[in-house]
Amino acid sequence: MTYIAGEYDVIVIGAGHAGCEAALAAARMGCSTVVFVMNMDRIANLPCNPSIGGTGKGHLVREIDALGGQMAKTADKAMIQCKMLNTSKGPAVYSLRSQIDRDKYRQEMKLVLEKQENLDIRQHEIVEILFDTDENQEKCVKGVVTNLGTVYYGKCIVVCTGTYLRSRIIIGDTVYDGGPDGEFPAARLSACLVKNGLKLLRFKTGTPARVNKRTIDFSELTEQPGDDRVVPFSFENEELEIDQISCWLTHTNEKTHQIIRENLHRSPLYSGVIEGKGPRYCPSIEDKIVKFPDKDRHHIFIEPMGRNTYEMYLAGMSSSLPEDVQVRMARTVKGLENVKFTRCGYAIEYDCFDPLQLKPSLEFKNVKGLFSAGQSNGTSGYEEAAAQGLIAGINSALKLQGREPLVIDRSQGYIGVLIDDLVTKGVSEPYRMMTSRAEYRLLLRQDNADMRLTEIGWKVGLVGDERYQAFCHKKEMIAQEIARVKKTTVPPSKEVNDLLISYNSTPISSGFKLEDLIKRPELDYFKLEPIDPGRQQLPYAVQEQVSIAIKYEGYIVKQLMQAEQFKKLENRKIPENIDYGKVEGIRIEARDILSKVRPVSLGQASRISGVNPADIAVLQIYLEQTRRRPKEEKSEQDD
Amino acid sequence: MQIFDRDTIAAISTAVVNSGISIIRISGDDAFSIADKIFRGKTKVKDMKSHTVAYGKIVSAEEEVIDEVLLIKMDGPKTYTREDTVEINCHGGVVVTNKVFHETVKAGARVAEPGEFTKRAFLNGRIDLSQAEAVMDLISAQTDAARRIAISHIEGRLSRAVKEVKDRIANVSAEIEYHIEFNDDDMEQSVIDRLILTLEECESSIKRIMDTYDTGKVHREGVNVLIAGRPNTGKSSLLNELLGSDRAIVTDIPGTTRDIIQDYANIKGVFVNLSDSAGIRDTQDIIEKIGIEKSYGAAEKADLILYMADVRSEWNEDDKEFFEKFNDKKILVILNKIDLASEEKVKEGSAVIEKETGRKPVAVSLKSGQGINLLYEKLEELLLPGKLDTKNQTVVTNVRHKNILETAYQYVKDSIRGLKENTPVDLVTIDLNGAVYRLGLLTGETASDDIIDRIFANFCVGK
Ligand SMILES: Nc1nc2c(ncn2[C@@H]2O[C@H](COP(=O)(O)OP(=O)(O)OP(=O)(O)O)[C@@H](O)[C@H]2O)c(=O)[nH]1
Ligand SMILES: [Mg+2]
Repeated sequence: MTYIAGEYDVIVIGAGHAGCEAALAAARMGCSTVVFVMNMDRIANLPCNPSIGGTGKGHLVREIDALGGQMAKTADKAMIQCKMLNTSKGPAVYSLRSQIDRDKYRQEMKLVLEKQENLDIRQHEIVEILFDTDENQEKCVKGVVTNLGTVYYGKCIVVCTGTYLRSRIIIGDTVYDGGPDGEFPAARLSACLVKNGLKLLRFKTGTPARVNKRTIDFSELTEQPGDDRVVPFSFENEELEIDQISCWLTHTNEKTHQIIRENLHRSPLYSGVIEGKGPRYCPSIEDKIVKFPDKDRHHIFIEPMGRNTYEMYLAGMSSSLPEDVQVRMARTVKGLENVKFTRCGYAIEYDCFDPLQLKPSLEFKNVKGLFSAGQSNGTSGYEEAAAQGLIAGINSALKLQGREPLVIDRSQGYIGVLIDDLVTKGVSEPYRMMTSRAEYRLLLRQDNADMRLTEIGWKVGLVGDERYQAFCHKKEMIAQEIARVKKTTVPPSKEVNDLLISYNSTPISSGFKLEDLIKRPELDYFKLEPIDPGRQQLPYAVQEQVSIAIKYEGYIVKQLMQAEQFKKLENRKIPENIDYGKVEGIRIEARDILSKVRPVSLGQASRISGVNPADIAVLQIYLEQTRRRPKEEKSEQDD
Repeated sequence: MQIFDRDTIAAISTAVVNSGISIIRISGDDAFSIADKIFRGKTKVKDMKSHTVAYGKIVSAEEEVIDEVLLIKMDGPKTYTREDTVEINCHGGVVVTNKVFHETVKAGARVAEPGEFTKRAFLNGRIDLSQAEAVMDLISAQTDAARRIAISHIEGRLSRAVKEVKDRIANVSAEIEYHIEFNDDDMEQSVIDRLILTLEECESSIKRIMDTYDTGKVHREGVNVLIAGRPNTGKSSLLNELLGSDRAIVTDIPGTTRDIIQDYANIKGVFVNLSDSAGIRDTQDIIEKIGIEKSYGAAEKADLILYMADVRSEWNEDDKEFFEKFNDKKILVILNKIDLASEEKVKEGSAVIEKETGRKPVAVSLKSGQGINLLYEKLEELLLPGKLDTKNQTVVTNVRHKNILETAYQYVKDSIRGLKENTPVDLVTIDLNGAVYRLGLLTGETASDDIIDRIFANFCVGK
């Protein structure tokens, strides 16, 4: 007899970064939720680099926080170093990156899950998803079966299996079935998914070796300390006091490259053992040397794995060469001459879904109540995973509440860009967030994520009233201060001109608008404080918004106009039941792709590769025709 | 890809060729404000009553008068498109109309796609379903037309030239993006300087392409056809025949035409820029000499030369000299005035010409009309798209293309200024991507992934 262990609103499979956000969001929105994890001690593990944030990724963490997600708060707790990247490259691409104590991060996240009301955590491998048909004869989910044969029923299921599905570890010519970071693989679920008509892809990624700090000669390395000012990820933390730990920089050299070249034939990448598609942005060291033979050295960043450990991570040395080659090449590097490995670098191959099967809500088009988030959708990165987990969790809860799904659009957030790219274009390699993927990058800054998303998070029910009030107050302060600055004129006094000259700025000879001074390339809002007597003490976050809004007004307006145009097509919805076979005048090629992707709006349709502007125009007219037809036919009858 | 739904569009809406009046129609939310930028009348367009006519002048941005026009203002929704609409009636002929149209585009209107007015009329509920089918046809036809254009010679050359610049700008953009995404260090000044240099080269390349549109106003639109030949052979008569009007003076005095006479003709559906020239001969007359030099100059630029010969006169040194100079051009020899010669003589003349030039002449009489149909058939064949080699000729032939190039040019200029003024590079990329997107409209490639692919192809990234 089957043991039926429980009945839940939402079942989350996997408790990595996607799974944690999904489970927390669903539970916080009032759904009874269970999350399954293969190993309780590996909740929210960071199996690759001990770091959260970075270009584009830091933006995602900010957005997760603005919507009421968890990652930013836990990262703030476990942060051991903070760096704001790209400060010389402009406000749109300022990116927060932190080094993370990964043991601490795991513990903190586990505790958050454990304390969360409505949420149960179970250590089990899920081997099967149970399907059913609903009252409309459509396929839907029913529950899951664990490796012990136990059944849990659920109305919605969120798959967050990361890199565990049918995963293989590859190190040189050694290949074995295994999950990331020494874990077991989830070997059986894939077969069930395929049997039920879901399309899987095979991807590959990798990680470098970890080494013992005691065996590194730091005297040869360049220290990479954190910033003086620590910026928290979470908007709810105004300040963070942390004792920062440095990273270290060294380089590969000709000897390293020679060893790699001599042993290429032993690399599974070149011998054909690896079938999965790997990411271009995260190549193994052997890839870099083959693709860029002219570069005589490559960076290696040595990053601490935490406060209470001697393990360090060799960023830049990702490799699937045999163990002996890995050790030998590491020891050619300055400072690592006598290094001892604790763990080998490896490549991992795993199954993931073709994300074209998903709606922008992250629910499967063909299975009601089945969602997927994270690396199982063909992405890479903790932050990308968490962002999707949050959205999938929110949308499973909204579905059960009978509400419209939450879809962040491309002009609202990187989360929107990420998910839209996945479900519109599909993936041909693990997908990484990059700021250059966002068309409206200047609008989607990391500093204004709350301005863009907190209200949405509040409406959804994840952001509490208190936080929402604080947010409204901040917004108000920003608006008032901008209005004040715009009204302020600066006199051509000696004091003013002295300050201007000190910044190499042309002195003024008559009254000058403060706003126009801020806009000068060499000046900003902060620098002009001494000659702005009307200024009140305002929180830093408010001042920052004012400074950017005024200084870059011209460019911001440009992007706002583009975004407005974009929204018009986004708002033209395509009915779910449209029959593209009936749309005359559309090219066959476009018809096939459209029937496959089934975009929800004309905007999404226009971004599918293989669909051209003329197809969109035809489609637009067809939609208008079908919208009007019933009406006109009716009025004909009335006549 | 971007599709604008509600922006303001403009088009020349009457057949341009040979009609006295052309109407430029502007439709959309900004129709009135755009009109006000270029129209100088008694009152501002925005203050005019709906459905009234005003007389005034169209001026350029420099306030130079281009044409005198009648302007009709119509408030939406009582218009064809149900949007605010302005119609400008121009009287100044093709070139002037094109100029006026160009000004509306410069003032902010977008050149309408084929069928777009009707499409809007439909989407705004103005016309009914049965008519919508016709709109769909129009749009699909547009795809075909675009495809045809893409393989045509002129457009091919434009697209190649533009692609080259676009690639360079995209590479600059990719290099900046590489530094943003994957390089924690600041960008070095030497790198920025190199990028500025590249962009300055791109700037002048775009300018060069753009300027082909302006070189010799004569060449602005259509195929350039020149009528040449010795004096009194009937060149001006042929011009008048092809235009269907008495455009040029015809007399029996050799040397009547002294300057280039230029006009547009629609020959068998092909838009032709037709020129008549002074007859070529050795002469002492200064004015005539200048005219003949101009004839040679025009021959240099022509896509097709119609060379006239009088059946009664011998093939002489002047004829030979012309063919020596322009032998590699497309030339159709026309043996005229066959009403004045015996069949025998015509045959004999034809044979001489064929021997001398390697070309078989068409024998006609412009007076009696003999052979004229054959001449038209011959012309139609020669004017078929792709038949003419238009090297050294205008690359940009279409005001929409010119408009796109101008925007791209401005974007590149802005990006250079930005880099020079130390504007943060993330803002500079807004201009760079604007330029790449615009140029992509001309080459038919637009993809944001393009830049990302370039990053991975050109730079070693990753941890
Ligand atoms: N009989 C006869 N006369 C013709 C024919 N074609 C033109 N003519 C006459 O030839 C004379 C010259 O014609 P135009 O057209 O002025 O010749 P053109 O080549 O322009 O002469 P220039 O401008 O002086 O170089 C005029 O009197 C025409 O009427 C023809 O086919 N038959
Ligand atoms: Mg003449």
